[in-house]
Amino acid sequence: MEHETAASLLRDLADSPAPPSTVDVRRAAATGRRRLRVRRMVASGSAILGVAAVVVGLTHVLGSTAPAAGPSLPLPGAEPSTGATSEEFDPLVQYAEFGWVPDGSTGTGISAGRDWLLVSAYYPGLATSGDDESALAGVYLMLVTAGHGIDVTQYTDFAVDPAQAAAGVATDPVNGRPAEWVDVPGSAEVLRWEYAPGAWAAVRVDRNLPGVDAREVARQVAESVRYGVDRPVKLPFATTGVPAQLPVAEVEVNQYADGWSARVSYGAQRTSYGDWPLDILTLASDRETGDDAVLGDPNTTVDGHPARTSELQDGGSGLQVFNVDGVYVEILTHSAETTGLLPDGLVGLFRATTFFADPADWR
Amino acid sequence: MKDDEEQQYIEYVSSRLPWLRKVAFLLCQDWHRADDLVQAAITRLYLHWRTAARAENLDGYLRRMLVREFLGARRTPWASRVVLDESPVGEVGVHDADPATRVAVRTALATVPARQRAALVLRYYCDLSVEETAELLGISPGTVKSQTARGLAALRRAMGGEKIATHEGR
Repeated sequence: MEHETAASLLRDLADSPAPPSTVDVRRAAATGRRRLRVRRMVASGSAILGVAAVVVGLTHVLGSTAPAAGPSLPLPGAEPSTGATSEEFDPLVQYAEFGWVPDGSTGTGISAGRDWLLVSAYYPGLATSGDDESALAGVYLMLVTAGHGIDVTQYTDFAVDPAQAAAGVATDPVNGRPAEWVDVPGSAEVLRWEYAPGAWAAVRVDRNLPGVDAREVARQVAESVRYGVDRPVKLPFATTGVPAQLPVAEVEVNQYADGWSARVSYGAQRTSYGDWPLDILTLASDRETGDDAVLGDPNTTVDGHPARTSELQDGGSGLQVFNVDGVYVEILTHSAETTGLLPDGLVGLFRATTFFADPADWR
Repeated sequence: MKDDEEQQYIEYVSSRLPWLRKVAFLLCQDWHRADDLVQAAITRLYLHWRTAARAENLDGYLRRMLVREFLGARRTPWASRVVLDESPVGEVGVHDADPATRVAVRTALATVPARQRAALVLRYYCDLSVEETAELLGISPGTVKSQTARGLAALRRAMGGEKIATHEGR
């Protein structure tokens, strides 16, 4: 009966009135035909140069898995800092970093909450179903505060009660610390170890990372982690407009070859819907209009920039400001109460914030 | 692809579009994004049509493509942003029986991580078993149970504490 309650709620939501579909079956067929033609061209040898480039690339990555071929980076020797093993992290501090990852990374990321830290390296991944040109693969370092377990299937908020963390299979220690393999069927290899007494870390390596043995990479990455880095996380904005009642709760910064994104969430505790009360999101983008997908078109201007204001279903408000000298800005409150904490509203917070499109200027 | 195969593909996909859009909408809570997901999934289906057409469960094959498209798309610079371009529930049409409940459920779904949401949708909307859901998502049955329990807890909160089971009996 209760199973049926959840099913009924979802069915009712799925039956919501919908706008006319924009899905075009014949367009899908046409796109598919084009992709098949390209594949046949490659298979017939008319793109030999391209194939050769791929092989060279894979060899390069393969070679980098051998310790001697990797970048010359120091191995860990320092004990984890006090901060890294405390009961709470500062989301604006990176307590650990990779000492080694395979060559060929096309992006990096750092995400953190008050009890978890994720450091990421992104790679072009092997397609998992044969045609996914945009597949991503990743190498991830996960740390949680002392007393927590790690839910290795999650990319955020993965610090859990130790009893909720999936059991692992004991393996050789990581730098003398107890370690275990954790099964993530199908998608990744995960090596988890106790980096300090009562405090756990994990390295997750996606299996579609080209040309490597994911377990070998996971172990090498784990054994070269540098602790005690305690480096401030650099952000593409600086603000004086966030009230003291809204401390930093989560940070996420990603940098790619062709851009970057950053989010900072603020608040002492999540709202009843599970959001942090205030979000500031930024992207490297000079777009000045919507994208007919997830971004609506501007409906106003703020200080000469195209902008859009919205009321959210949770009672909060949204302000999107396009192309602030190359930065797309989004400020969201997730309750009317949070909006009320901002003396001059979302626009006031925007005006109390300086944005930096160039990562060299981040602070 | 031969003409008759392509016609077969078009007829099959056309017949499944309403169902696909609903699954995609539950996954992403936005009809425009849902249409993007469906468009990407059916394009991928075209590439694999000869294999797919022989599948014992073609609907399952297509559903898998849709869910993987959704999970793959989450890991992009745009993934973490909140969708602001969503039309209010009930904006289109006049037979919206319980918009408040839908808003609550939609908001609850939007707040849970992508895999938890996918697990919820697969278990309770697509009516897959724990094992089938685990296989499709590439996670263990135990993780499916814990993720659906957390997702149901979010739904329960959104419904003001209405009792929804967190145990997995299937």
